[in-house]
Amino acid sequence: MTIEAPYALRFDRASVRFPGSTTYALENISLHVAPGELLTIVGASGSGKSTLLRCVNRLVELCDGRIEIDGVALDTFAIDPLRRTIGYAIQGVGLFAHLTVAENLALVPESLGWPRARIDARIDEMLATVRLDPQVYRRRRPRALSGGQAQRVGIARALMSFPRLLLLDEPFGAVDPILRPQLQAELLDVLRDARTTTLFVTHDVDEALFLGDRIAVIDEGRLRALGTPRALLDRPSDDFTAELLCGDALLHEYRRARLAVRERGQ
Amino acid sequence: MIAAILAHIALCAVGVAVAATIAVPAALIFADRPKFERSLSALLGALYTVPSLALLAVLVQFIGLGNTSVEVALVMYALYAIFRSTVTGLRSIPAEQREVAVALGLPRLKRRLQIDLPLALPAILSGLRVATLGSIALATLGGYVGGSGLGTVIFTGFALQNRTMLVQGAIGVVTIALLAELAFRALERVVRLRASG
Repeated sequence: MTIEAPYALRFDRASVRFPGSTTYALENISLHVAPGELLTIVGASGSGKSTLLRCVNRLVELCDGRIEIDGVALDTFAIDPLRRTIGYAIQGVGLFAHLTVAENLALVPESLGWPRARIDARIDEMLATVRLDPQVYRRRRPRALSGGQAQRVGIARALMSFPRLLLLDEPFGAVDPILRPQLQAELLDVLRDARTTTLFVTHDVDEALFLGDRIAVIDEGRLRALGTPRALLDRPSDDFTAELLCGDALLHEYRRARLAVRERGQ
Repeated sequence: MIAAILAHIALCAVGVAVAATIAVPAALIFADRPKFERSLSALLGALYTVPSLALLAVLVQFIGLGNTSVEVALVMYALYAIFRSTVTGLRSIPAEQREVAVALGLPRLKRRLQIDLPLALPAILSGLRVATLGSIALATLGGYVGGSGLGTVIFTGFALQNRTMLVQGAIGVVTIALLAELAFRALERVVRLRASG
């Protein structure tokens, strides 16, 4: 089976203004995401980071500027077929309560016309990848899952059909803080195997630093900083970024030390 | 008497089934098109407000005496409750769930049948219950225009001043209505539980 190459993504002065609003939800965002890169997008609630993500699968439309996938303008793609190549998981996961875990996972592959046997095999493979025993969890309904298990199923669903781009909107936002580091580490493993381009939205600075190849800092709809965790921690480009990422001296030191551990691990 | 009860149930079942076959797909098509949905709701609502005896009298002029006129009237009355409840059910699906279905790129038909319809099913069933209870009452009037069912027993009882027939007919109608109510309530409970996982 051929797995298609991950998408490259380019935002070119992308702006969003919601109907009836006088201010921009996103203003002049320009950035490039390389194929296979994991870009974390960090900012406070209401900063526009989720809007940025939702522009990519056109849940939100731009009012100005453009987004390109592999150099082709986003709005020239047929939307549903494009969305089927983009994995999507959100806070609270968005699993369908009336469907079993297996039925939730099968939705996109069925839409792509995969044969049943291939879907079943992939469900087992993905559940094993996110450390859930397929024999136990296939027939469970979302209500019978813990928060962490539901989150794993959400990630598995997003990755089911070998997406060329993955959009994760605070996928661990509703997870117990004790479980978060474990899920983050697991996600890194899964993404390393999946080798897909990923946009990961979070308001958790430590999560952004730990996961991202690069970090985009968003504030009031504007891109305040863009760079590797090391670059932004060592040389924050403005006061806002410095305050958000570095915090006080103690926190700054802790984050740099944690990042050094991650870098050694790589 | 048994034959009349069975005929009454058949009349109502066919009427509600035909109405559901029209109203549910119509709601699935028009729920996202508010302008059309409002027009259709207004039309069906207007039909619903026509007094039943007057509607039967008009239908008899065009279709003639017998079950067909009664069936047409039953369908016309049931449409409104089923259409409205389906639209309400579809619109009450949490925005987050609808959005995820869209974001996954599921084809529209698959989204409607596999996601929207099951999630709206509790509301649809409640519309079917209202339509069924209304039909059970309305079908009784069919006895006036040559329809079968318990209406015939009741109106014959009236004509003959036969209290036994009157009471039997009335108890039959009430029993069917009560059983239908209980069956739908039980079904709604099961479906609601399933829809919430």
